[in-house]
Amino acid sequence: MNSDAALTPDLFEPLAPGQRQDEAIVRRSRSYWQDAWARFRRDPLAMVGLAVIVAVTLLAIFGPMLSSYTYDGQDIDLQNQWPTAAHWFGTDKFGRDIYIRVLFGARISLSIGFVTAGINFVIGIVYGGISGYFGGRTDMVLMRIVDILTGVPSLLYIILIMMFLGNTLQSILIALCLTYWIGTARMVRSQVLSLKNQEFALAAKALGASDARILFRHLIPNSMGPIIVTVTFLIPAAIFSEAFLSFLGIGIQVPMASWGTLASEAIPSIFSYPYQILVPTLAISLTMFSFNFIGDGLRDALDPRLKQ
Amino acid sequence: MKMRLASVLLSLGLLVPLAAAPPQKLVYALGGEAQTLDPNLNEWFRASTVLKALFTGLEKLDPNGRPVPGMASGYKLDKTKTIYTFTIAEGAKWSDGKPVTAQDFEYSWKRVANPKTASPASFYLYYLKNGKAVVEGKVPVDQLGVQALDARTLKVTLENPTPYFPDLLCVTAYMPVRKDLVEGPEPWTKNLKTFIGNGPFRLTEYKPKQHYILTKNPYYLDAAKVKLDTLDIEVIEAQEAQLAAYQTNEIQAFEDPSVEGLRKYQGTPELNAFPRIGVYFYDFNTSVRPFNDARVRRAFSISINRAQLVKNILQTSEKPALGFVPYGINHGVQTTKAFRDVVGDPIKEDIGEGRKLMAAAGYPNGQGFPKATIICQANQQAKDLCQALQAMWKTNLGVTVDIQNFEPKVYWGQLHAGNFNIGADGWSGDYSDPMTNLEIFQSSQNTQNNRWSNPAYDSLIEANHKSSDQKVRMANFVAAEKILATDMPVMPAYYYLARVVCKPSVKGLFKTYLGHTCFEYAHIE
Amino acid sequence: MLGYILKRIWAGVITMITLVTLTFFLTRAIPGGPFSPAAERKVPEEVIAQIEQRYGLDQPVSVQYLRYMGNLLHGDLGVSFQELDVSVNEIVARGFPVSARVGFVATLVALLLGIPLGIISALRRGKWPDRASMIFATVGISIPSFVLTVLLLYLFAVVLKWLPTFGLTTWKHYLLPVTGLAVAPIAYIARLMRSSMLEVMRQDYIRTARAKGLSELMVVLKHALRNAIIPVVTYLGPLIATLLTGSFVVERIFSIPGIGRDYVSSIGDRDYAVILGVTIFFGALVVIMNILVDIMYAVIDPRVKIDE
Repeated sequence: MNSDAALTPDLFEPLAPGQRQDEAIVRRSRSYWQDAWARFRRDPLAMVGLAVIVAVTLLAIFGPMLSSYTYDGQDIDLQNQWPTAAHWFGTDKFGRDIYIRVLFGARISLSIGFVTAGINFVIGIVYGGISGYFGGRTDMVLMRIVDILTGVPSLLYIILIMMFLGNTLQSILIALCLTYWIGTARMVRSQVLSLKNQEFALAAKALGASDARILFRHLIPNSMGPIIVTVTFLIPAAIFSEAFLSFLGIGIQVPMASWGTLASEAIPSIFSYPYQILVPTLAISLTMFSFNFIGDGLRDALDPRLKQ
Repeated sequence: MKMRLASVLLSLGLLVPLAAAPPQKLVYALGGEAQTLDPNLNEWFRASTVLKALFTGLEKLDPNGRPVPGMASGYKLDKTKTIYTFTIAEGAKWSDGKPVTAQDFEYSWKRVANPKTASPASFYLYYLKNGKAVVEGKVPVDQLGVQALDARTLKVTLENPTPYFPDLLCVTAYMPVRKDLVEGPEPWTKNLKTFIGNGPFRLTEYKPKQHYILTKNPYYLDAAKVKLDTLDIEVIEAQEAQLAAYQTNEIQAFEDPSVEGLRKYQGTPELNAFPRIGVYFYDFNTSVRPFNDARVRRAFSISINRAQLVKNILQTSEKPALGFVPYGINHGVQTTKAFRDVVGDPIKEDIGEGRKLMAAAGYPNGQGFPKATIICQANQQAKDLCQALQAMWKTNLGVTVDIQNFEPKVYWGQLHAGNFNIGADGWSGDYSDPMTNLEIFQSSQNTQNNRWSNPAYDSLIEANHKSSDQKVRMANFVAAEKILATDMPVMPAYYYLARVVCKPSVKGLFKTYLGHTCFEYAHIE
Repeated sequence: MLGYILKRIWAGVITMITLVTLTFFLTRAIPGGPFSPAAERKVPEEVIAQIEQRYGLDQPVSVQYLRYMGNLLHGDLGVSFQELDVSVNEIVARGFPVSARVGFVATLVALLLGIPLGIISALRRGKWPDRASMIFATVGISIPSFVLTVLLLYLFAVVLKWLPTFGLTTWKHYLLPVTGLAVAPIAYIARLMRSSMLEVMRQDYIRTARAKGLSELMVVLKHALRNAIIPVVTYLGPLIATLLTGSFVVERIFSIPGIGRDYVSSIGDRDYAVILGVTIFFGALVVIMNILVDIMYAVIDPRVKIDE
């Protein structure tokens, strides 16, 4: 290596005290969440997904007010009609407008989707995180409890809950929330187990970070991938569980229907009136696609390794 | 010339094997396993279909719904009309060749009535003298009104004259079982060696939850008339799967098709519908407001459109029920006609009249009507009917009725406990006489959930129990139905039909008025 | 490791006992019993009393529990109330191998299709293989199994006439039930793999491996797969337990005499001994699978220390 000019001390001048710039912040610093939201915003598919979910939710809340039909208004003369201008999604065997029934179904199914996703996300992360992080005895006990809860037939305690709380949407939500967090918890635990001995976690510990901070600020965000996939997949599972419960006589009573029950009621006519099953299934698929896009976007947004 | 004739005859002779009869094997789909294979313990439909192929009682039902001689070649009835003396046919044998004896029947009936057996079918034996008392444990079993006088003579004593007793003898509870097999060390129905019957077929293979393979019983009394060699009963639970299997020819017949199946085969010769002597009705809880008022009950019952319920909602061909005695039961005097056709309908649908009744009861246009609930089981049909009724009552009477459905094991408990205003219910009869559908409303019977009782009604039914004069009996039944139509403790919806879908090559298959399939006369063409 | 396994087995026994106890009392707590009236006719009370006495149901619940546990120690699972004269041991012995066969094949299919699908998706992110598999995955879980199985039945058996409609005698009989069982797991596994691979591929050691000159395939198989597969291994535990015990919907539509149907129908029938028998079986599978899964973690990822 040849220096062009010889480096002599008189070429260097100490800076004045206020002139140091190596710690100047040239860009506005963003918190983790601000950064995440900015990244999320930039993902086109995720935004589309979000837009769809918001649109469907708004439709579900306000749509019925804009229509003259009700979810239980029957007109047998108009039964089983294919979609027309008067009935956008056609009518069912009672002559009820399917569009409105799908909107009311959205209220139920979306509630189930949001609530189970949200609550199971939180419970699963906390439970699985603690179990994986602390390991040893804690892990053993917590995971054995999970084993027991997996083994008990969920139908049994769901029937019991419905017996005490009645056949309402709230009781179904409570029943479903008790069932699905287990998958999330196990996923979180396995991720935490494999990450907690990695260098970045050990470094955080060396810096004196508290256990909670390490867990929730470092380990969990790095496990977001599988967690989000799990949560988005348990949404349709929860929706179909509700349909199955209705099939057995537990849960929401007719004539109110969720997307799941609309689909299962349309099976006997699947070949004669296919639109009756197509509509709720498409609604579920559309919602699932949207949740998946949001999930992908969330994962990319929340992954600290993609921080820019 | 002679050569020509000879060659023609020769070639015809060669053709004969080509035109031979098709294999006499029928594959029939059943929607579930037989609940039990022990005739003494049976009160279920599916099990009856299977058991009827394996056992035969003193009498059996022919394709016209009439009892004809089964194991008994004939009987004598005494003057009081309460003592029957049956003669067991010569040549009546079990499928292992042993003769069927009168002692077999005596043993079997006593076993059903014995409280230690805890048979759910024991109520069938109430018709015998001391039957009820024996079942309730008040009287020892040997006091039951049945006695084998010798190997081929059976003396049966009844509580009351029972003109329809020969019909009753066709149910599985009155079929014989063999003491030496039943009282063996192992459960006798689980081993093919001990599971011996006296019916047209015998069981040669049983795979649980999969199928029953029955083959012709060569020792059967009427074996000459049984044409099927093999009967393969496949257990296929889902109606969609039954329909699919039928369309791919994996099965040749199935029963009780779904709406999709009906749509496909209605109007074709492949669908056969037989009246089943049962009614689908709704109980009113007459002990609680608002249905403690007969006017309200009547209003509800006449302000609906049953034809629409059946045709549009259920999309089947059942007949709307405007009376309490279903088709399939013949009139006692004009025995070739159905009771319903001779007597007419006691209920008339009339929305205007319904509104007037509601106003008279204090609920003009439904104002002030308290919250009412209609309950049903969780299956789709029941829920559909309730939704249709809910809308009909709202439109026609201005009332709001909520729907609640339950799992089967919980539902009937709710009904029996009276936790309802309107409850889906039904009743299938046991024999071809109006009594089977009307005696259930007698207050002493305690079989009803509507908590209704009417002394005038009771006395009519009592009189009919004691009488055997058909003219008097029919007149009393008409009067009884009139009381029911006025008081309306239940709201009949439709009369049951039993259906079988079978390939055009399958002949002779039918369902009795009890809803059981009879394979005895079936054959493949 | 041996010490750990022994500890787990011991914990497993306690888990099973708790599971059985909890389930036992749950079955007695829900409304309705095995001899509750289930049809129009009221069975005379004397008859019901006799039946209940014969099965010991007239005893106080705690006595019934002790009797059950005592019998359990002898390997006696009790008798079914629904199928007269049939013991639960018989029901499980004849039903479980059937469900297990179908479930085992379904698990293999799910792994053999799901894992490669996920890997390809991750490696070709954003391109058409990724989009196609994403669509398949979303649709796969958006269609409820009770709709999917009916569609499969009609398409392949009735319309195309390629496959039989009921039973399980030839290899052809397996195709539809296995498909019905495997669709959702394939979708989930593919998504998990994809998400996991995406994260792993971003890691430094992958870059190192590539820099060392390894081919892409070797990079994936030797380095990436090991770590990316942990979430799938986590899911594998409950998946195998669930698939081996069969699905109610699949077994019902395809008339498979397995134990999946018994699991649900026994709850509807309040057939206590069958409920408990199947629960014990399923619970044992869950416990064993989870032990194996935890051991797999340690084998795959040396950083995971499960026995602290």
